[in-house]
Amino acid sequence: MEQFLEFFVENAGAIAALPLWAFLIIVFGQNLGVYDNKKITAWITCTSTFIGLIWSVCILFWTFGAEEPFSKNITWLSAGNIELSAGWLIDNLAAMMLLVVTGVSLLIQVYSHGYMEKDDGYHRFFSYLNLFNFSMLGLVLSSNLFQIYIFWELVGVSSYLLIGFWFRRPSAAHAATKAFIINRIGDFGLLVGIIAFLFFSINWWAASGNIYLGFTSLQPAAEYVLTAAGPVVYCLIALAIFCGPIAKSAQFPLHTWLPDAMEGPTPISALIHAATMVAAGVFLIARAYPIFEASPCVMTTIAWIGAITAFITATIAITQYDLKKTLAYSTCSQLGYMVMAMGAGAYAAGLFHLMTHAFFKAMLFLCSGAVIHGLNDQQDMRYMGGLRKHMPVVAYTYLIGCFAISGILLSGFWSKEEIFAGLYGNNMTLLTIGLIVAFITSFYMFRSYFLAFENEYRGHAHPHDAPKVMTIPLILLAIPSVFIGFLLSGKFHLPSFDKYILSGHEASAHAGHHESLMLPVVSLLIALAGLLTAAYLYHDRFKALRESVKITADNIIKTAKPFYSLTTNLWYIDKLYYCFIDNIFLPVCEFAANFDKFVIDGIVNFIGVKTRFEGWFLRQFQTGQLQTYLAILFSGLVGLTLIFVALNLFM
Amino acid sequence: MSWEEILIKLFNVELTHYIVLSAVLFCIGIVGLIVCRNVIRVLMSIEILLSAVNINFVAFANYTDLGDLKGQVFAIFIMAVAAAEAAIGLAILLALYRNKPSVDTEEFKELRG
Repeated sequence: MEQFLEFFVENAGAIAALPLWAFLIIVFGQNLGVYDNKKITAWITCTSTFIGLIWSVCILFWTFGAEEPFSKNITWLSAGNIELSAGWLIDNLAAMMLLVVTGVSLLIQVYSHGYMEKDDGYHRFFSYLNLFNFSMLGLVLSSNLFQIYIFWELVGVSSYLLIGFWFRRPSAAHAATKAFIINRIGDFGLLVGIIAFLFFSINWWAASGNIYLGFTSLQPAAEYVLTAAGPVVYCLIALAIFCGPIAKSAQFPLHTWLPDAMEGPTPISALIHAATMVAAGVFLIARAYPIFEASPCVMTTIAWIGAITAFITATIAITQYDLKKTLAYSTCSQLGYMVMAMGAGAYAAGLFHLMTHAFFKAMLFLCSGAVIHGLNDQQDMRYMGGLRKHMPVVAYTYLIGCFAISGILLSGFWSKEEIFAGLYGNNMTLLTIGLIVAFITSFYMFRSYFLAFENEYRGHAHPHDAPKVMTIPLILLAIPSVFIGFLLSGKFHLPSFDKYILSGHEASAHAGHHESLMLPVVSLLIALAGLLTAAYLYHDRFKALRESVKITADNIIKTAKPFYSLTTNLWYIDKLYYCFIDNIFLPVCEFAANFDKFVIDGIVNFIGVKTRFEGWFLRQFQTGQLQTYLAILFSGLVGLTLIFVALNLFM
Repeated sequence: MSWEEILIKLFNVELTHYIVLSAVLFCIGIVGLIVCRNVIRVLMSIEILLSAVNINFVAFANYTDLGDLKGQVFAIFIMAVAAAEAAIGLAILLALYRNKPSVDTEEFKELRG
C-alpha cells in the first residue's frame, strides 16, 4: 500500500501534465480537423481532470502517513553560481490545494459542458480550461519560488484568455485587458521581490546545497536575508513579493479587475475568479510564509490590506444589482478575510477558509450561471425574483451557499470562526472589522437571495430550469459546502484541518487557540442579524411591516445618501485610477511620445536631411561633362600657378 | 661652327622661344579640349597637348642636358604612348559611333556613374 501511494507522489507531475496534453490534443485536433465532436473534447478534458482527482486523492492519503514532504527536482537552468530547478514539492498544503483544484475543476468542467453547449467557441473554451488547469496545478506543485512565478504568469495568461473569451464584446475585451494589466503590476512586484531575495541570499543557497529558492528551506534563507539586507530593505523585498498576491487575489489597491472579470463565461468566474486562481495569491502567501513571518511590519501590512479589502468590497457588494458582480465583490471580501488571517498569524485558518470558500463560492457562481442561463442572459437582480418556483435545485443550493458564506452553521461558519479565534488574542481592531464584515456579508448575500429567488417574478424572459448536467455539479458542490467545515473543524474528536496543515510547520503553529463559546455565538448572532435585516428589507412578507414602520431600503438610501453614492461608485477607486491615467499618466506618455517624435526623431531626421543636402550639393559638380571637369581642373591649375607666382614676386 | 650656333646666329632662337612655343601649343590644346564637343577634335587637342610637352622635353634636353639623352628618350616614349592612345581612342570612338551616330561628347552620358 505504501509503495502504491509512493508511485503517485513520485509522479505527481503527471497531474499537471495531463491537462497540458488535453490542451494540446484539443488545439491540434480541432485546428487540424481531426475531429469535430464536442463530446470528445468534453470527455478528454473531464477524463484528464478525473485522473488528476484520483491522483490527488492518493497523494492526500500518502500525506497522512508521510513525515517528510516529498520533493523531486531537475536542474532547469544554471548560469554562473545560480542554479534554478524545476520539479514538484508534495506536502500537506500542496495535497490540499491539489484536491480542491482538481475537484472543483472537474465539477465545473461537467457544468461547462451544459453551459457552453450552444457556444461557437466550445472547443476553444475547453482548451483554455485545460491550459488553466495545467498552469494552476503546476503552480500548486511548484517546488521553488522561481517556478511558481512561471506558472503564476501562465495562470494570468489563461485568466486573460478566458475573461476575454467573448472577445467580440468590447466590454469583455476591455475587462480582459484590465485584468491583465493590473496583474502585470503585481507580477512585476513579485518578480522584483524574488530577484532581490535571490540576490541577497545567493551565497546562502550556494553554500547550503538546497535547491535555489526552494520552499522547504525558505525559513533559514529568510533569516539570512534579514541579516544580510537589514530590516528596512528586507521589509521592502517582502512587500514586493506581497505585490503578487495583492494583484492576483484582488486585494485593496488592485482589486478592481476582479469584478470586471465577470465579463467572462460564468463557469470561468466560478473556477478561476472565485475558487482557484484568486486563491493562488493566498497560496503564495502560505508558501512564502517564512519570508513574511520574519518581518512583523510586513505581517501587519498584510493583515491590514486584507481587512481594508474585506471591508471596502463588502460595502460595495451591498449596492450592486448585478448578481455576478455581487458575488465577485463578495469573493474579494472573502479573500480579504484569508489575507487578513494570514497576516494576523492565523495561517491554518486562512487556508481553511480558502478551502471552504472554494467549494461554496464555486457553487454560488454556478448557481448564478444557471440563473443567467435560465433567464437568457439576464444578470440584473431587479428583473429576477420568485425563481425558487422555477428552478428549485438552483435556489436551494444558492441558499446553502448563502448560509455557508454568511457563516451560519455551514462550512463558512467553521472557517470564519477560526479566523476570528486567530484574531481574538492578536488584534482586536481587526477582529471588530472582521465581525462588521461578517454582518455585511450575510446581509448582501441574503439580499441577493431574496431579490433573485423570493417574491414575485419581475422579469420578462420566461425562466426555465437548468439541465441535469448543470444541476448535478451544484448538488455535488453543495455537499462539501455543508459538511466540510464541520468535518474538519477539529472539534468533537473530528479530524482537524489545522493539525494537518500545520504539521511540519512547528514554528508557525499558532499558539494559544482561543477556545470558548463566546466568539462563535457572537459571530453566529451577527450573521443572523444580517440575514434578518436582509429579510426585513427585501422579502415581501415584511412589506406591510416595512410600510407601517416606514423604514424601507429606499428610505435608507435617501438618508444615507453620501455613503450610498460612495459604494455605488465603488469607493471612487476606479474613477481615481482613470483620473490618474487621464490626468497624469497619459500626459506623461504623450510628452514622452512627443519628445520621441520631435526631438529624437528630429535629430535623426536632421542628420538624414543634412546628408541628402550635402549629396545634392556635391552632385551639382558631377555633370558628366568632360569639358566642365577640364575647365575646373585647369582653372584650378592656373589659379594655383598665379598664387605661387604672386607669392614669389611679393614675398 | 656647329649648326646650332648658325641657327642662333641666323634666327637668334633661344630656350625661351621653345618654351613659349610649347606654352602656346599647350594653351591651344587646352582651349580645344574645353571648347570642343566633337570627340575627334578632343583627341586632336590631346595630341597637341602631348606635342607641347614633347617640345618642352626636347628643348630642355638640348639646352640644359647636353651630355645625356633623357629628354629625347622621353619624347619618343610619349610619341609611342600617344600613338597607342590615339589608336585606342579612335577604336572606342568607332565603337561608340556604331551605337549612336554622333561624335558629340554630350551624347555619351550613359557611361556616367
